[in-house]
Amino acid sequence: MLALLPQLLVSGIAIGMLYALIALSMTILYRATTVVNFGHGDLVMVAAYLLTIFAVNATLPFVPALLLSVAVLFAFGFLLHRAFIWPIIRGPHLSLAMMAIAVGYSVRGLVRLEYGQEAVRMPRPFAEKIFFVNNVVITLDEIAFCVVVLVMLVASYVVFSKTRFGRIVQAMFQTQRGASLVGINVMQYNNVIWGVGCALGALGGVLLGLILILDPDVGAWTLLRGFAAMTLGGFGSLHGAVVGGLLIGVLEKVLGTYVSTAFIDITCYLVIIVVLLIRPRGLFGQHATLRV
Amino acid sequence: MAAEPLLRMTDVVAGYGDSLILRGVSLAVESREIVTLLGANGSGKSTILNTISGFVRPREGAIEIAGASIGGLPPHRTFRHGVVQVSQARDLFGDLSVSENLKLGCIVHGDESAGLARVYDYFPRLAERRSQRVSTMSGGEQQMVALGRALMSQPRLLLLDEPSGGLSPRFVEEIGEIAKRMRADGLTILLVEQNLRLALAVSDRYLILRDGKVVDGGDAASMQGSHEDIVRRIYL
Repeated sequence: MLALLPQLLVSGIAIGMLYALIALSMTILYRATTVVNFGHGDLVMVAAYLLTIFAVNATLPFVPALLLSVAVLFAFGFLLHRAFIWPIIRGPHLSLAMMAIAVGYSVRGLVRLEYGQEAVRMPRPFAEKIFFVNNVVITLDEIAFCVVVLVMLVASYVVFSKTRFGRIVQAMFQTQRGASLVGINVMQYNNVIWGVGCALGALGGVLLGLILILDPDVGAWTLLRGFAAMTLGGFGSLHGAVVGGLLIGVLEKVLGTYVSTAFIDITCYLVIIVVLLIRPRGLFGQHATLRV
Repeated sequence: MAAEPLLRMTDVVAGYGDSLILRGVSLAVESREIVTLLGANGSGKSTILNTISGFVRPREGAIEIAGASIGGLPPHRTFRHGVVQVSQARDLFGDLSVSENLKLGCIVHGDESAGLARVYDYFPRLAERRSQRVSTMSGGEQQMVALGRALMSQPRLLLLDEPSGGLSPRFVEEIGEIAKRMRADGLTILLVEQNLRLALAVSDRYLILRDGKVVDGGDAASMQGSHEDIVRRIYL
């Protein structure tokens, strides 16, 4: 039985990388407005559809189609925040969450209008290929996941911890009023952060399109795994989102193999339940206390 | 021709939602002057500061800094005119260190190393604790960080909202000494302060607010020993 473990770990880490990217993109949005974008999965789904449209209908090569999809999602995230989130930013969190859900469902509806329930296959940039390393099968898709996500993780780390932009985002996450008091244009930075979050989500959507057949409901699948990774890693923690994504990827594979295949679908729900009950701030969630 | 005051508010009307708090406030603050706003709770003291800094939009009237209109500008744009507020809640970046908080004070404009030297000179205790996370500091120390952060951008006008609020007598005294030093250094400050002794000791002038209007005012030095008289004028 245990002979399968190395294979499960490799496959789990590879799919976990994808969850980590989705969770990271959601965490970036969360750090801007402390709102979980419950419409994020639908935006991720749209990115894969857009790439398909650009590559198939507009016959663009894969890379320009990818860059265009990411750019469109950046603009969409920027405008989504400016037009729908910012005007109600001082309202209750529930209103913000409902707005995110409503926008996500509307987007999903628009995609359904065009494609119905028709399953669409995203074009591939390379042929499927597998490699054997000590009896462990590694696919080219899994290698692509790991490379793309690792590059994005390093880039995110540099941007969010080593640059002026990152210091500002960090300050805004602590207190938006405090950020305004030091002259930061909070609305504009939030717009950009939502753009960046959606652009990263778009990359996740494209990776997803490599392994799943697209349908308008695929966003829900994405959202739940991203949300579970965020919950496990701790809301607001960038490295927590990554660790959470990897752990969920591995757990899904291990439980799905050793316990029951049903666990592949329910692991993310179980993780959310267990973490919220036992350690609501997750593995790395911040727990700020002001002593006055 | 008389010199332009640094801050001038003319017939400013402002409030939150349906409730009107400021009902025609007019006041002026000269450069290098410290003016204290006095008034009962709800008289509009903090709303004046929030309206100047841009957190509350004026519905009527004009606000000018050295002749430039800033009424209705968002906070990040009033900041560029040199208006910096230290709010009652302090709004510090609690999970960041003292030095990170201070550096963020001049992230938009200001000289970081000169600013840090100046702030550590004002508050030597902050220099000793530059790596400490702000959320683990006492209220008085946090107030020092808030004042220090505001000083980092070398403001033209400092808006201080209850700097002694909730602090122990020892810290109130310390904040008082710092305010006196700011006065000696020629900073222009509009102060909201409930502690009359502190307010009158550091101010040049005081203004009394009632029902969202400036109803009285005068020279702070002449009122040093007449606190009862001022209290009567605030409440009666």
